[in-house]
Amino acid sequence: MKNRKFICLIGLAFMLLTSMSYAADSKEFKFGEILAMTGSGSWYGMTMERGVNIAVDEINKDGGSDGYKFIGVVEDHKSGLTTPAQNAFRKLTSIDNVPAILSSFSAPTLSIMAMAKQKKIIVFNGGATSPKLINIPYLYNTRMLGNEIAPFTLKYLWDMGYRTMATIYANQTAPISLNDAATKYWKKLGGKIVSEQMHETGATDFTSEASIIKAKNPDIIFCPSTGLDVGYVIKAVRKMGVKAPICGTEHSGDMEKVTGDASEGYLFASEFFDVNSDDPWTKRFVSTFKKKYDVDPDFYAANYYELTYILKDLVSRVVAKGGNPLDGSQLEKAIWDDPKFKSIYGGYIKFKKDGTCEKPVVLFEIQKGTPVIVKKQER
Amino acid sequence: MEYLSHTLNLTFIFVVLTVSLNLILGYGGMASMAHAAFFCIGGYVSTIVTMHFDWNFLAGVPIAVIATATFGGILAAPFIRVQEEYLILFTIAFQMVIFHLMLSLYNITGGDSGIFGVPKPEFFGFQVETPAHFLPFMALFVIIVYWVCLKVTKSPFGRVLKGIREDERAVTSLGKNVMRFKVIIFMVGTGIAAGAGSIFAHYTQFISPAIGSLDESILIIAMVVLGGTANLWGSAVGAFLLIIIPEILNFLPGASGLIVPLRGFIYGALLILFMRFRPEGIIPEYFRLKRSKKKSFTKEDSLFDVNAEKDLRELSGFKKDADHDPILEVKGISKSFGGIKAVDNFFMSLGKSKITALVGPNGCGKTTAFNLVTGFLKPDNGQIYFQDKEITNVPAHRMPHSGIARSWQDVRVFQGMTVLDNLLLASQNQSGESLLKLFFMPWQVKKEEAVNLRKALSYLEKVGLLEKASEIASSLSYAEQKLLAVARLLTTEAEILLLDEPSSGVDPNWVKQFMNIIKELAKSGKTICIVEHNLEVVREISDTVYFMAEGRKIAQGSAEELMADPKLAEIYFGI
Amino acid sequence: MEAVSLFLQLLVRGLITGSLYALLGVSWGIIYNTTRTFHFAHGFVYTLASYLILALVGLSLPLIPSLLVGLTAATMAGCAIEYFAYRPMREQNASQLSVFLTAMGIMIAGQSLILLIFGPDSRPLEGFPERVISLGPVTFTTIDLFTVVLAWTVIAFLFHFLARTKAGMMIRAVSSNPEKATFIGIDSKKIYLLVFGIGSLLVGIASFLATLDRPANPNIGLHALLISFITVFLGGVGNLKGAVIGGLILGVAESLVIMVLPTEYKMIVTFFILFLVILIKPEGLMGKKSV
Repeated sequence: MKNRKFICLIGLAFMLLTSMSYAADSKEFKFGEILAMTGSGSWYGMTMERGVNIAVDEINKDGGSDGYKFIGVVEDHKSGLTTPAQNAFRKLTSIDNVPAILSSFSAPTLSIMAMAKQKKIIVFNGGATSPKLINIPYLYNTRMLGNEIAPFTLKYLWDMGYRTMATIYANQTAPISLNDAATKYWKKLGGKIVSEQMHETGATDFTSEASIIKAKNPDIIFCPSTGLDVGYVIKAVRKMGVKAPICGTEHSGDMEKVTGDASEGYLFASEFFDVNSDDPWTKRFVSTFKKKYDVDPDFYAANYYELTYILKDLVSRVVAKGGNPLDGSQLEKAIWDDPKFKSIYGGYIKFKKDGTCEKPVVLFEIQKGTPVIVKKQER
Repeated sequence: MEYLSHTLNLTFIFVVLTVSLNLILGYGGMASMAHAAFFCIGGYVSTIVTMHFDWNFLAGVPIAVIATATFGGILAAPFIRVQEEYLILFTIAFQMVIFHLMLSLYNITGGDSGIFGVPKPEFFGFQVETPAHFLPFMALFVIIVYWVCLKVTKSPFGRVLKGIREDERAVTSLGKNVMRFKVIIFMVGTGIAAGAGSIFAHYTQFISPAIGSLDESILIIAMVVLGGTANLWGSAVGAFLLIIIPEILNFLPGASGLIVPLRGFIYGALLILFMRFRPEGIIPEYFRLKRSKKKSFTKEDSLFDVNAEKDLRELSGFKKDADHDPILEVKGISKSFGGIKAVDNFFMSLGKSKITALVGPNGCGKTTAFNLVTGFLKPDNGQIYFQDKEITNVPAHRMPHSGIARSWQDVRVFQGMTVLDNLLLASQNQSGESLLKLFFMPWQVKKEEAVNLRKALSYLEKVGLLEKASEIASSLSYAEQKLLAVARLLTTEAEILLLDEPSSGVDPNWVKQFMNIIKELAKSGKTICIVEHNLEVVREISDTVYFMAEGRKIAQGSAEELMADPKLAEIYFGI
Repeated sequence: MEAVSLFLQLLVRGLITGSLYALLGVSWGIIYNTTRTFHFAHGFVYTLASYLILALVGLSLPLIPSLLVGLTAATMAGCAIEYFAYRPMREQNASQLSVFLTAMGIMIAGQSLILLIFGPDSRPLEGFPERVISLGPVTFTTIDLFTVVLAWTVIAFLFHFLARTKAGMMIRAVSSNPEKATFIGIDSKKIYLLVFGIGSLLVGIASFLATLDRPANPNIGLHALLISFITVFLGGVGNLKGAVIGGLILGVAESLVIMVLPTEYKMIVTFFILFLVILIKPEGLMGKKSV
């Protein structure tokens, strides 16, 4: 008698346990975010995470994606370091078992792609601009890459009559390749390069470099450095009394902390995220973001918000086919069911076979500390 | 679980790095802040070689090891010349130059994004796919490295290193080229680091300059010191500690913004607490799990096979001593320091198997003369002849091999070693001091050690220290240490023994014992020269006395003759 | 002509930077020359000073009081490090490596603490009037001018203090011969604390000057530290005048080198100079060989 009771108890416990794990297993879609949470690029990480958070909140409030609750796991690549990025990748894929990762910055993204291909993890980039990011299996970019942005900016200045250019760029993957693209393009137009200087990432003292620029007296200055670097460059160049227009490819929200008024007139091209758009989806995003964070969303936040929704779409597609959305290879295949995805910029983006897509690009000029559109790209 | 396998693999890599740095730092006494740079260079060499020539990683690893070790060897010479107190700064500067160079040469190194797609480790068709697959190979690597390091440190080579750490000059006076040992251990250490670097690059399929940064070097050195310098097991503990603890912190719930500084804070705090309260590390150098029984030796152990000795002497090319008398001739040597002439046109001859004494007032240049004759100083002019060979410019570490050995006024016995080890270090031409012979002809090394052991024991018996053979030298009395120094000199088997104040600081009973020993040595064929202040000793044992004043030989003759001369007494006692 | 005006601009730039480097050099040099301690945690004191001043200004405290509080805190931090860390280790005859690692630990823990409290963002010091001044081919700002004037004033004060006051003479005595100094009754322990205090005060001033020009971030300490001891070793160990010269030379060299080498080699040159100096003449250009 006693034995039987005991066995029943064990059986009940067993059933409870398995059903509990079943409940725990209920439908979570965990994905990774490898962002710049510390270091000189920490502003980027902050705003990207915010974009994801808004999306995750909205998606989960709606009951998740086909019942899958969205959970983002954030890891830090310390403003572009490859070792923490790789460690983050390993942790995300073996402990959190994520099938998809939202990455950022060129070097960290590149450093994880070999492993991503091997383990079939789909990786999205919404912030890095290096042309090296094209044509890598399992990597999809929703940021316009440098080989498109730089020429757009330079052509604008060329049309204004400027002919000589000095460049100064960080010893970092994207700035190096951007400098390469820019100098090639400028020479193709017929312009002259009077000086090219590479600086250490994260440097703050640019007085010597600025002195050289002053001596070379270029018509324009091109600085594709990221984060605060470009801010320090601008400040140093202006302090030196150089009045030539400065253009670049990045503008982080905390740049004015470094430049103060000196950023006046700085030109950069990037995705055109219009906070005043009439698109209902965009409007909703902007107002939610503004209410939560007390500031308008920039295009980085928009890109990562958009990426989270792309993940949601992919999950839905896989589930509709009866597949397993926790399998990265299935998510990846689902892209090609229809490479068109709704864009927070309005309309659609379409992925090309090389992993890039096209987005509306505009040229901004800083006027009184705020980016103002001066030219739209013809499409 | 893959994360666990990877963490273990990473830990193993760091164990190897820590152990290899311990060889350089703990055993070689060189504080190198540049270890991570060599780790990174090794990784790059293997990456570039395997990717360029499309070779298997099994070819890349040894190439990386050899190339980096060679580079380390070339670098070691300036490293060693730098004074110890500046070495930390120097290696930091070196580390930063290499790191920034790697970052700037982005066409070769890939700059900050590095090179990805490094070929996976492949063993004859078997490709390593997951960290778990690689774990047994990594463990094997660690075991091999440990075997190599243990063999090196417990060998005659390691013995010399130990001596170098304590007293470089003493080691030199026993006929060992300190520079050679330091360069070699540096090469071994950096070579192993390079091996780890190349394995790491292939395992992660990625390499960038980031793994060769100053932070990494500091981390490795922290692991060595925390674990315990000069203790290879401690290195494993240190590596585990400084990898596992930060990893655990990763799992703490909390904003990622908080974890990074928290990890940094704990790492820094660990360093401070350890250095302040337990600087010898977790496992100190002389840690013994149980009190191991001390070996005691008897008279039987000391009798050695004459034939074996003869074979060995012929093997090592020991020349039969020619019959040349006087056996040492010093002809007009001088030495100036700044404006002061410490030794001025000094002449001396040592008769074969005779005891010559060198006396004179304080500061007359006796010790300087000794240093000149034994190669610790180079004479400005003059010549020194040993038998018929000129040895004027022979460096100090080659003197015992040439046949001249000296003792020190301040004894300079290796306090941290046993009495026996002190002697064994002094044996000449040891195969075990050559790493190549150690690994490729271990039988010869073993044979030699056995013979040297017997010889050493017999010398100990001669000076009456046989029962103390296994004692640590620091536990001996001052007089016993002086006896030990004499026995050590005997072990060099040099023909000419120069003893610097052998009886100073010992009480009269011991002095008698010393005198007897010295007389016996001369009778058995050794040529002896002593610097002495104790005129009793001089009168009792010397055959010839040289009187020195103001760097010059003032008088020469028998002890009676000189001591009867009132003028000399005036100079000597300053009356 | 272009080369000449570039040269002049870079030279002036180098002298301005060099003035700050000279101040950094004497701040570390006075500690090293007197105590022979490799005070690696000097970088942490530097960072602490900046952040404290910034924090207080951020809380709307006016600049002068914030500056005074920041400098006092820096001085006390330096003394505390000597008292609680270096002195006990010296008494235990700790190896130089142990001292180095302790100081590294303080740097790392301290920097992490600052990161924890203040976050990773850079903070600028506002409120100082910044205007560009041009003299012919040479351009600099009012901040540069202020930096140079203040740095040299402080350096002059320091030398006056060392030469004319009793405390200064005691410091020099301990610097040149610690045993003799003890014989004649100087309490070296007190002197050690004094130089740590002075050195930390000076580095706090240097930190303040640097922050006027560039926002502070948690990593500024390491760079300042490296400059400090490169300057001392370049110019001469045991000789504070040497540190001043070393600072100027380093500043000018760093600035002028980009006329011949691509700018990305700037950092390499700085360290290579240190590498060569230690290799060839470790006592520095004007230093005395230790007996």
